[in-house]
Amino acid sequence: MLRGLRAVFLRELTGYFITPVAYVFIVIFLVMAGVFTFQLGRWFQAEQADLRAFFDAHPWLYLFLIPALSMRLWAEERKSGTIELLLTLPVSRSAAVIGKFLAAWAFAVLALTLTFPVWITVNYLGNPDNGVILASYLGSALMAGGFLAVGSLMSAITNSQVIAFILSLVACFAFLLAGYSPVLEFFQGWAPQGIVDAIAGFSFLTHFQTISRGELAARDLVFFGSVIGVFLGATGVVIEMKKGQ
Amino acid sequence: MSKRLLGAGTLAALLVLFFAINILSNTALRGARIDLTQDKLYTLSEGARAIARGIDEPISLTFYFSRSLAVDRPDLRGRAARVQEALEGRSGFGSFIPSLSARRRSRPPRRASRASP
Repeated sequence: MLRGLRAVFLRELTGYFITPVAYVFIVIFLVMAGVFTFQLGRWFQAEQADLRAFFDAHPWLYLFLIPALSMRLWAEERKSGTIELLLTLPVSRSAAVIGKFLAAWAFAVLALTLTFPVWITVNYLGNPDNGVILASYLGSALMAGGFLAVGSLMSAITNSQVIAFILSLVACFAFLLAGYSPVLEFFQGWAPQGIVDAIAGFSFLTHFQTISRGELAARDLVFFGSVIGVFLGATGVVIEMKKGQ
Repeated sequence: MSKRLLGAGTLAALLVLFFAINILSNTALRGARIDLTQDKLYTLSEGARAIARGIDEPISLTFYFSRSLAVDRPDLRGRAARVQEALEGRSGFGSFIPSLSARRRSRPPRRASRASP
């Protein structure tokens, strides 16, 4: 069922590094993470041995950077016509969907791990709770996966990378702020209370904040796992639906 | 046409699955959590447990939380839910209180839990 997963994964991952995408993304990610932490987050002024300011910026960094990463997943293949080639290769569709996603995720996690100087700095300057930092890194990686899966679906829907970017950004924003009034008020008018409560529980932000407090709950893992699973599943379905159009 | 119909059906099924998994895991996996903090911030220490065991009169804990005020604060709602679970002994962290009368969750604007060890 997953024949060719490895091949797709490796091809996609090397694809990032052959083009300037990887270098631009990593540099911008690291610079922006620094700006958010040290300038906007006032990390030095706070004089606290934790990485709260650093991790609090991650949802907003991902909001703009992850759609930029995910927009090309399928839209580019379709635009350049290589999707026909990919789908006729002896690679199952699920392998293509999962392989592309895993490559993007691995790349995002690589960018995330490259922020390790912040961790060294905080350990040099103070005595932080490294368990909390580990949990926050884990939560951040999971959240990146969730964003990427959403972006993968948006990229499969359209042929245009720009539209894919904008759709992913809006969808990710909605997921980030589910549970906060802008999103809740949209549903409150017509949806039953049970559904509204369920949607309130779909906020990436609250799940990420719970994990990054150092409290690793099974339901937060299940949440991000189900986001990834369901959106990748939907990606596969959409690609099948658009085949031959 | 049938391919579209099938696809749309699968997408709808996925959406339902997504809701089902998360609603189910919210109740089924309540207590499943690991405290990753180095100082075990979310776990009762041995000392606290010993003190709680040594008290032989009823302890009464009252937890006040306004649902209407926290309507657009999901972080507060989440924290309140966790405190409530801890009080009801379902959190996996604070299960030292043997029997708490767990009242219905949906009783605004306040709720109280009583303990008698």
